Amino acid sequence: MRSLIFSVVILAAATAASAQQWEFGAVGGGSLLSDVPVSGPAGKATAGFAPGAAFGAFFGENLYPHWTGEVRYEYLQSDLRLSSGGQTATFTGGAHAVHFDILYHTNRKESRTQFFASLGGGAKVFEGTGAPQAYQPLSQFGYFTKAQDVKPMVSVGGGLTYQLAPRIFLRAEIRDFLTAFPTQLITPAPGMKFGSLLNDIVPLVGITYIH
Amino acid sequence: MRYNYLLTSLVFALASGVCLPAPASAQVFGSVTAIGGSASDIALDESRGLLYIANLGAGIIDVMSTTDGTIHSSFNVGALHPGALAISKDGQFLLVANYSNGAITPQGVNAITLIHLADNSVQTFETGDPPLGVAFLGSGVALVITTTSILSFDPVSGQTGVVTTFANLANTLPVVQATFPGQILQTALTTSGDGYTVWGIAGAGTGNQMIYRFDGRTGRIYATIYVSTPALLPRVSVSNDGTSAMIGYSLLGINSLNPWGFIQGRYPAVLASTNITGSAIDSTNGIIYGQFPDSNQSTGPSAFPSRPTGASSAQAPALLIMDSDNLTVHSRINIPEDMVGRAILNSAGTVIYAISESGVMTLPVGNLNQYHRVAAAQEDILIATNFCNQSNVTQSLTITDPGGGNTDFTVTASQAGVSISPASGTTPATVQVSVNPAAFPASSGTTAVTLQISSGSAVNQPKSVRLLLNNPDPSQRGTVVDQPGVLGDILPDAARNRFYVLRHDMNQLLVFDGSSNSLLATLRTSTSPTMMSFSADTNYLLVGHDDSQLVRVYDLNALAEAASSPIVLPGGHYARSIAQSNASTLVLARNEGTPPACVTGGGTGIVDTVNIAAQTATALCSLGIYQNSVSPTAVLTPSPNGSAILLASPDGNVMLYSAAADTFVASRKDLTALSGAFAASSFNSYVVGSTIFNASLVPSGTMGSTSAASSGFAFTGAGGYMASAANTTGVGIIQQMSSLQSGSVKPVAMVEAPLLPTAGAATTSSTGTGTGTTSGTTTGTGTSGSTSTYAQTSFTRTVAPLPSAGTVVVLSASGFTVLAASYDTAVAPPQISSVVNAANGTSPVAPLGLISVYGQQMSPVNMATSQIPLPTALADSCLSVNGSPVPLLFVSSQQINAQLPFNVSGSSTMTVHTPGGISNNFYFTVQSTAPSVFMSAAAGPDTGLAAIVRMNNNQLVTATNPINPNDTIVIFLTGMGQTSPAVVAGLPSPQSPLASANAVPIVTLGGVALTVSYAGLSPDEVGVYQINATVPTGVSPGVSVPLTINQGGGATTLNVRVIN
Repeated sequence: MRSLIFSVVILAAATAASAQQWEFGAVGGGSLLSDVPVSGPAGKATAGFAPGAAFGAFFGENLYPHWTGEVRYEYLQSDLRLSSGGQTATFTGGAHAVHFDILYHTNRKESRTQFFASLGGGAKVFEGTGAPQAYQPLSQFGYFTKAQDVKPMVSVGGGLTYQLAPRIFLRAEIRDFLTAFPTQLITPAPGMKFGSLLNDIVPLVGITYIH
Repeated sequence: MRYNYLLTSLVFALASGVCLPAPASAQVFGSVTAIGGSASDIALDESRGLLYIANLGAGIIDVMSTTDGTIHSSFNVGALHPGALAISKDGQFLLVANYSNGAITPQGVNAITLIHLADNSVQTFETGDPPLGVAFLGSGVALVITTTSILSFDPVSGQTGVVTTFANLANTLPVVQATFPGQILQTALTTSGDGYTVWGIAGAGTGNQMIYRFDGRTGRIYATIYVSTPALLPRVSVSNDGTSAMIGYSLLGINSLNPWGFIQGRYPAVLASTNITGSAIDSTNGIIYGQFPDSNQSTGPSAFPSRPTGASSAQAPALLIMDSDNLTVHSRINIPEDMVGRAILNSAGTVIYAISESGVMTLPVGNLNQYHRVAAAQEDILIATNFCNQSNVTQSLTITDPGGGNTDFTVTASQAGVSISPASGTTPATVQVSVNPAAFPASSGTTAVTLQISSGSAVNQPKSVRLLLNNPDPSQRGTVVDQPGVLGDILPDAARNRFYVLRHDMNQLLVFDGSSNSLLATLRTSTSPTMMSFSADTNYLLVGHDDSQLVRVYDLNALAEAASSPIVLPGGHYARSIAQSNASTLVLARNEGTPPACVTGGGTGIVDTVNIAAQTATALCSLGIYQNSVSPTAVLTPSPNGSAILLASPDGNVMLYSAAADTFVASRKDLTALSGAFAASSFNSYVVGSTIFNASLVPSGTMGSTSAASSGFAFTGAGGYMASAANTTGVGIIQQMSSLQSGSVKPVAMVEAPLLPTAGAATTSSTGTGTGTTSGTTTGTGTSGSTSTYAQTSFTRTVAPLPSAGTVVVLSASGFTVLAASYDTAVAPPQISSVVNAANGTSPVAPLGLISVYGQQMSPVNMATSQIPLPTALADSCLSVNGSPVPLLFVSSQQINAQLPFNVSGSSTMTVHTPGGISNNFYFTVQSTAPSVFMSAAAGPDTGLAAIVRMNNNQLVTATNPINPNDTIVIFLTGMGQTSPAVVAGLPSPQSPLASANAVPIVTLGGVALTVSYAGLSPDEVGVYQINATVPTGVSPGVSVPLTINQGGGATTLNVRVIN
């Protein structure tokens, strides 16, 4: 994992070296993580994360009329969750996402309204922060664990920016952070199988300053 | 005529008061300030730190500093005689009632004196008739009681008004010598803490006494004439909200249905006294502090000339600490003098100021924990020997100071053959009480020995401990369950598999589980509970009281007092017995009042009918064609189907109530006396004592041995169980009969005697006659008082069959005895099939380890014990290994849980003894070590978990609470073998020094060794060991990592989850 983060930093540095305009922004919104299916001798359930708040910041450089590169950080507050038969068990948790995305703008940069699509990659650090309990509901499916689990992440999304002032833009976007399921946080009980891919749909709204 | 003048002579009398320290023996609590006169009343001025003392004899108001307890000054009230005083709630005024009733030289004045405390100015107002008492309401208005009226007095305007008038008694001055002020004025009144209610008594100490309550919100007075024996003395303390008041030795209460008040409780067994009584209510803590003359006080520092008639000359004055709702006494504290007048508790509830024989007594009740006291942690010790164990038996007794201090103590036994080691020491301490069975006669029953605790420095009178020695032989049936206290009346509840027992001395209704015979709940009753009855729908239980007008109603599903509780009986009625039928619920009450006009006969016993929903009770005008006049110690009992109620009287009378006719339909007296058991069947047959009565109450036969006294009978269909005994310390007898006509029934010996009727039970001390009177604006109904007679009973209900549990419970000498319902049937000899450790059910066992023995016919009943040390016989079963008795925890037909002795090892032989005989020898091997982790822990609904605890969150190690690096874990197990120091099987492990396992264990997790900081017996536990270990880093994580304990050749492994 350490090598992946290193490659993101190198990529960001390379982008900055050829910068024309600098862009700073902050965004906030929600995290709408999807669940993965759970099956095994104990029956069927879903494991995943409950919806929660998300906020973050980014730093980018506009290199070309349609292309931008940006380094992003998001904190995603989302509790761990197991559900089965109408019963739900939760465990306090969250995640940190660090990634670099390339944005393609449909209009040139000087346009007041710009639509964009993004694609990038990075890492997501999942955290289980709750207090371990000797008894946990639905523990026949999996065990909540107070731990960290770092997973490679692919980021895809799109959105628009709208100029509010000469250097100020309103930004709205939606992204999907794709990772493998963090089994160190929700550990499958013996014999149980978890789905492998976790989607985190994150709608965000923010303000961008271009220098 | 009104006089206004300034107080011209304010006399400072610094030398007139002397504060006396506690006697040198330091056995008393509090101090006395002698005032050089006779204190008639006191008033506490907390804002100024002063206590005003009406010194009737000296004609002055002494002013005592509450800081140092000395008299700093005195108001000279001239020729007046300050009999009573009160301070306004705002502290502005001190109002003094000056009593000058009759000829005295110089002639006094009947007046009230108003002192403005801000400037000490004085106004005097003549009252005409002698004023007896004063009290301020929260509104600022005062009530003034004179010999003929109750006046209102406004201290601001000086206006007076007549609230009501009455005729009253008071003594004329001068009085004979050695007369206390309370005997002269015969009046006291006190305002509630919220300032809205004044309770008072007039004519106290005489035959007719008026108790009144002034409601400041409505301006109404509720007055009742009481006739009490002994007479109520003029002492009044009131709860903060005014809903109850302690007047003399009686606790008066009110509720929305009974605004005139009722006797909520009376101090049982009070003795007559002309001056000793005092009380103060602490509403915040639900406590009444008081002194009431009785014969139940131990030797104290000195005897005073004013001891009550009948009291021992060696009695010490004692402050009783009682519950404020039912007068249950919890502590007796030695005080330097008797309380002979008003007692005031300060607003913080920390200090009582009480009029005492020399003046005023200061009792710092808030600091009681700083004084030496001593008490035993146990009320009873039961030592039972048996056919497995006839050697000396030892039990522990813990002596403590309730305040946590170090207090000297001495324990002595009332009989030889009991050794106590050490017999004296300093608290906290545990002494060993050993009994040599050979030193006691072979009574085959239970002998009670008193262990008296004393202390040279303690201020309390410690309760003695009852040592019960039970020594049955193999032929006797049943298991004794120790239940401390004075028990009486038992009712089985087959539907809920429970039984209910009344504990008289602590005013409790005890609820026991029928399967485990363990206490489920303790519910509070009123004072001196007598007998119980179910409601017709069996959802409620009614309890009558000998020292309370109340019948308490309990919701048996909620195990709490019902919304329809309490029911107040008519004035002067105290429920001795209750029975329900399909038509009516009847109460047989001791009658100390005047019955309604329709009632003829007017005996000391009367039958009331109760409406539970309406919370009312009414005396029946007649019992059918018979007068409603019965013995007060008669009893009622219903037939199980609700069709009839039997009334049995100690004079031989029996009566029958028919639910169909809703009245009494038969009355006969064929016998000259009846006592003991009483029961009614659903098949028109009845039992009283050993006599069987038919449907017309004609004696139709007898049961049982004529040499044994009847104790209890319970029908089970047409037959039933009968308990009897020749005496209270010998063997008990139980007989089971399929029908009353079944002829000779084989008696079977029980392990101890059932409770028997009290000798001389047919009389009561009732002497009073209550009458209603109009006093002021409201008419009340009279009641009266007498001493408690709950322990005086000719009839006993002691047998409770529990078909759902397959047992019969009998109230007996030590508490109760549990027998299998089939106790008299032939029992096959027991068989042992396996012996395993009790932790995980595997076969390795070791010394001191807990074991489970499996087999057949090993006990006629299921029974667990919480007794410490563990008994060596339980429910007719005992176990021996190599001939040594084994401490038992649980017995049942197919399983016995026990603890192996310390010294057993190698090839061993086990036998089980039961009423069916002795099992064949069972051979097994005891290893030196056999560590086995308990697999009996539970987390939420998950059971069968390993008893391993993570110390960082004090929760069980489970898959959801996994082991982390650097965790300290505690593993609970058994079978770790011998320890240093050695611990006797059946006894808890010591806290210091800890009993460490002789063989040190090696604990590994995933192959990595853990650091073991302790391995040995868990302190205070029996047969339970623990290993404290720390997990290093480097243990490979996993959902199922092996945790292995190797110890002295024994090993055990289980899997746990580990993370990193």
